[in-house]
Amino acid sequence: MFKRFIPDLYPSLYLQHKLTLFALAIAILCYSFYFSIVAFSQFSLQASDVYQVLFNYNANDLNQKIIVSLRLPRSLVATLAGIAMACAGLLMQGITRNSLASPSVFGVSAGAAFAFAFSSTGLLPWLSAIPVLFITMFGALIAGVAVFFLGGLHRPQANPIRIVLAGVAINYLCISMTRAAVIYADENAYGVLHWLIGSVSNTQLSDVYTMLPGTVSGLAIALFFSHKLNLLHIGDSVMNSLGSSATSVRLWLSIAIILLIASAVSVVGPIGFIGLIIPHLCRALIGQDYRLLIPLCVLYGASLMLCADSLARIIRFPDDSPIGIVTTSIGALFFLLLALKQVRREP
Amino acid sequence: MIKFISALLFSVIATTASATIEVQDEMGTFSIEQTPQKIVVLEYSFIDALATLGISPVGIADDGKVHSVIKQISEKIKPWVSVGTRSTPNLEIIASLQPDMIIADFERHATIYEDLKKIAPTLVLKSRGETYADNLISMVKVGQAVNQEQKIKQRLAQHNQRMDAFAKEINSDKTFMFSVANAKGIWMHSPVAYAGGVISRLGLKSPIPEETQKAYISATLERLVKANPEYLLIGKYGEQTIIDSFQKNPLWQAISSIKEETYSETNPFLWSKNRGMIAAEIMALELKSLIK
Repeated sequence: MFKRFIPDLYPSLYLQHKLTLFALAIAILCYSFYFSIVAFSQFSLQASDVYQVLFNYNANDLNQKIIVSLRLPRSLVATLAGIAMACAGLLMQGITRNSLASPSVFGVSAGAAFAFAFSSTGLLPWLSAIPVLFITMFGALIAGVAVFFLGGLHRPQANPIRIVLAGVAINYLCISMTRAAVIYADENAYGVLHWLIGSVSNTQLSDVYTMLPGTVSGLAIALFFSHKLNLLHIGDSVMNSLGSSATSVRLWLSIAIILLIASAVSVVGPIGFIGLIIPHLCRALIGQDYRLLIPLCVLYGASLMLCADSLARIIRFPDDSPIGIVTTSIGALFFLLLALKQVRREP
Repeated sequence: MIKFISALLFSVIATTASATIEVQDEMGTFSIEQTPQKIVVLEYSFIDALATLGISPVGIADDGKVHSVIKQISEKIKPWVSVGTRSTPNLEIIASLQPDMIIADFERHATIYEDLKKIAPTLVLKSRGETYADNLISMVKVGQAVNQEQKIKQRLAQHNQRMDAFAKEINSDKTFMFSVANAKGIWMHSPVAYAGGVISRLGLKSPIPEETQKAYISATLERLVKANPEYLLIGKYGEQTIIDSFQKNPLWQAISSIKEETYSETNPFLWSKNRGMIAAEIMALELKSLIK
């Protein structure tokens, strides 16, 4: 009710409401970033170390070296992965017009995971020589392209149910093949399983550079088509009658999804639920306008990943836990709350 | 009288020949009617025990990779049939070998124990995640099961003497750590891991002595820097491992072992998989040559 009438009756109040939401999201992101830099380390990292790194860096100080060489890249990777996952989830929900769609619907995460698990089996020795990043990107791309054509996204008047069915089929196919590969990759099985849960441990600055092009270009495409996504939300026929091609928009947004997911999965693994929770949360906060939803999802997606990473470190401190454990737990809780809310709504 | 003595002797011999062998294993009491000749093993650590006793297993769960069994052990035994992976051994292949006995790992094979028992009497012992002390106990049990308890105990005494001699020669108070690495991670072997046990048997200290619960600890570079081993030995699985990216990080140089150039790489199959007396003695020999 509030969202529907406030824009028309009190435009300044509405603007203030949006600005507050964005300011709050930026503040949460900044604090989450700082917290993930200094929290839960066997070295007692302090705010003063961060200050020294920013204004008086001493390369011989071990604490400062840890912040610059390990903590900063790790937090940046978590930030980029959060942005990519949340944005991809939102785009998935936009093009399928299904609020329960997530990156896994496209089978992209599962495709990347299978490619990595298969390369770990050593069945094709030459595959082991290719960098992991390219293998996972290739897997993500193949799965994404398969869903695009099987789901009929290349045709006008794409049926959202067919897209979801194609995605679920490819997703399960990749998952079952991944399980088989894990059995064959016995000596590496622990490492493969660890990666399949999703982890930002041991990420380096080079991983940030790896993720940056895909994430930035995917995000740029998403922002460029944000207005068209609003039209697509109303319906294919409405959009076509307004002179825009729904097929072309879906194609571009599918490319954006593949870029976002492939760059994130190749470094941190198939982390679940971020792409589902954040769009839901942001939609509840700011409404359906994709021009605002995308930036808000970016901010909250990054914050959630950073918080999840900090939590993953405390579970078995000083050992690291895979971040996927935390995001999956949050996701399960979120689903329960969503189900309870639905039950209460029904008479 | 002569007839009576002959009858007594015959009955004693007959009783001895058909005496049931009983061994306490992880599933309770293992029993077998006669000394097994054809044995299938489902973990590498049991091959060491059999090779020590001069027995060649007919089938081995070698993950389809012959080189997984270290040369020093494979040279002592006859060619074997691969019965699949250790995690999912092929029951049909095992059955086709018509074994007299199967030796299985409690952690991996307890769930298929009933199926294995239908093929042949199955001795279930600790293997995956076992300590050095557990391994020696398992070796004696394998010796008992194949009716060579005395021989394995003699070998054990000899092993202890050799390890004491190695410890005396090494005589170092440095911290030493073995870890395995693959493309996505590194796992430190704690004092309760098999390799950690061998290191400690030789009188060397662990840089992570507080880790007494978990055998293998997934580590980040930050954790490795904190552990700060004076000697670091890595077993790499695969051409590309996480060590490649660690080496590009300036913090890699902060580890004592890297600064003092005591870092080295070894065969992970020896240090992590082929557990046993033969393997432990080769490990000790490697350690002796590494310690300056």
